[in-house]
Amino acid sequence: MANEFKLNNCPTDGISSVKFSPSTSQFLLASSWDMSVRLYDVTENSQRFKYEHKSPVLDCCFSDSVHSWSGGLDGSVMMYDLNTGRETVVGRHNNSIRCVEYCSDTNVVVTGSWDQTIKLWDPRSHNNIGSYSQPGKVFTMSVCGDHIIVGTCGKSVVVWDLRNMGYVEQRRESSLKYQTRCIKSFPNKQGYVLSSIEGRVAVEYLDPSVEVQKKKYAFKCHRIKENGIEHIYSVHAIAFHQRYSTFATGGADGYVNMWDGFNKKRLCQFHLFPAAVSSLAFSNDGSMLAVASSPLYGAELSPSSNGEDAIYIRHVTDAETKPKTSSGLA
Amino acid sequence: MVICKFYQQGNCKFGSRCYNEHVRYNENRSRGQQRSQNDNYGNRGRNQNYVQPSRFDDSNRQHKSHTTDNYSSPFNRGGSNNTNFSSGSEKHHTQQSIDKFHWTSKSQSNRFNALAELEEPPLSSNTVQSEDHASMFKTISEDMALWPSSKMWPFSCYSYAKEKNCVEGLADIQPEEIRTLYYLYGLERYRNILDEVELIYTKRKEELRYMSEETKSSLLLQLGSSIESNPSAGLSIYSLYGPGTEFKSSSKVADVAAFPTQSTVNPTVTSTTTDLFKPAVAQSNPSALPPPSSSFIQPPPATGGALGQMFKTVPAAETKP
Repeated sequence: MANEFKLNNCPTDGISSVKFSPSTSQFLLASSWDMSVRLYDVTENSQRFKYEHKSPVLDCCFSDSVHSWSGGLDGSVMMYDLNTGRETVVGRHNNSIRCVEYCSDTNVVVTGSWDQTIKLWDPRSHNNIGSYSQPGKVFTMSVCGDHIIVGTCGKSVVVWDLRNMGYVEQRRESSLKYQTRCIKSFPNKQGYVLSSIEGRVAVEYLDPSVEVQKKKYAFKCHRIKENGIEHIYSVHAIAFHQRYSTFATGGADGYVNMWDGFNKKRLCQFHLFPAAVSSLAFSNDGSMLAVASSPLYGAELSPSSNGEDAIYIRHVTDAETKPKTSSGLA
Repeated sequence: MVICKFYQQGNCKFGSRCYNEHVRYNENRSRGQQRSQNDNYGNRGRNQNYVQPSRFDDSNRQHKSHTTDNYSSPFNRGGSNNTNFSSGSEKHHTQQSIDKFHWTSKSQSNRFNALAELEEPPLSSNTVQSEDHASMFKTISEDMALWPSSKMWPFSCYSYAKEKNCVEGLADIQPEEIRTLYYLYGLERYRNILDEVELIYTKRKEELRYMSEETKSSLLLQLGSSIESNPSAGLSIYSLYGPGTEFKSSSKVADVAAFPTQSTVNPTVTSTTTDLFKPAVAQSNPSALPPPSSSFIQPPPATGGALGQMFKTVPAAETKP
């Protein structure tokens, strides 16, 4: 397909996270269970840099266009300067780091860990600004303006105001019945999308007022019926198109769906990927979608799953990502 | 499809999971309702791309006051109920004094103000309560029955309805956590551990599926309490590793050779599966960073002993008034 291609030099083990650069659609960061974090030049389809952790890496992010932050199983927070090629261990958690996010509104890097804390880091001085307890192991996080939404084990969702970390701003429960897999906030910061291991996605709003809470809903997805039995797949990844506010979900079934959350419609479904979709990322201008596909994230638990780990870059069209105008439906 | 009579009474506990058709009145079928009644994954009905909101919507409104509670009193961890702990949130409640199992018919008829309604005779609170319990047990049992065949991730927490407490005995473990074991211990031990863990979960799910009287009463006890349960809050599979643990890349994991265990962290730990599931607090890591600045939940006390024991323990989470 002309509009989609596979990156060269893909990681050699499960791909835990892919993130586009905040300022350009040219560069993509990828963290992997092969202990590496790689930077790809997507336009040239080449790997530009690679640095290594001492353990599998579970998440990565850009703090700005030349600095990458990452964390993994050994709990160390690493920052890599793409210009100088120098890596720095900035600090650590007591247990594995599960999520790394950057908040541009407050210029702070947030790491979430299975040690039940999130820690804030100053990208310039590398100081640890604070450490905050969560109700359980951190499974997923999403920056929402100057807030951060943390999804933990036990279906808790905690919203923190990064400008005021003295107390929890909101403490809520996931509206789904099973383990939270991924949370991503809407570009308009009004709410977030939460996915679970049970092929279901909930659209939630932050405003606690009754009228706004009425709008929340959930829907089933990433399920396949075979011989009368419904197979239910985890929804591993969610990514928002920044301009249209539509979102893509990627599941263990290997499919990627595009959804219009406001009109409650599915816009399209892409072709089946060779393995489970572990991570998704839209470029800042919404022109490209990176799809990380790793058999490790499939339904089987056996580590020796067949298949290769690959990152696909797809040029997405308006037809696939733009909300359709209402055509007479009530 | 069969029309759900409980939904018409405003009292269907299955919500979106109900196998029967949820229409308010028979005549409504032709009324602009674009929803195809079949929730199936995009393949049926004329609106293939129309994502119909799951009928979780219905139970949304019943939980309205419950969720407002959480926002107005963030430190009220006993507040998944409308308990006396909440301050200042009563004014947000449209439905007063609703506890987990006590949905009065009045609370449900409020949703349909715009529609002319059938008058529902008020049910006695006892009847409502035991009906609620019965349908709760039914939901749990059915969900447990479906779980294995659906090939869903097995090591997940579970609650029988949204925003209810998680059922005890099913700890919440992420796929990445399980995968870590493979990198730490090699294929053979990984498989052994996995078998043991799967056994624990299967056992608990079967208990919940076949619902003995004992299971029922302990469920009622656990779910009825106002203590928020996050049964796996501190459950750490990696009690053994800390800074300095050597991880092998997957290409080397095929070696079944023993991986170094962090005996310096906790010299009494042996490398049995039991110890893997000790809650994090049991391991004092000497090189740990200073304790978190805002304490939120106390990690569960160490239990030790059999794995099965571990999963039955409900942490004594402290509720802050």
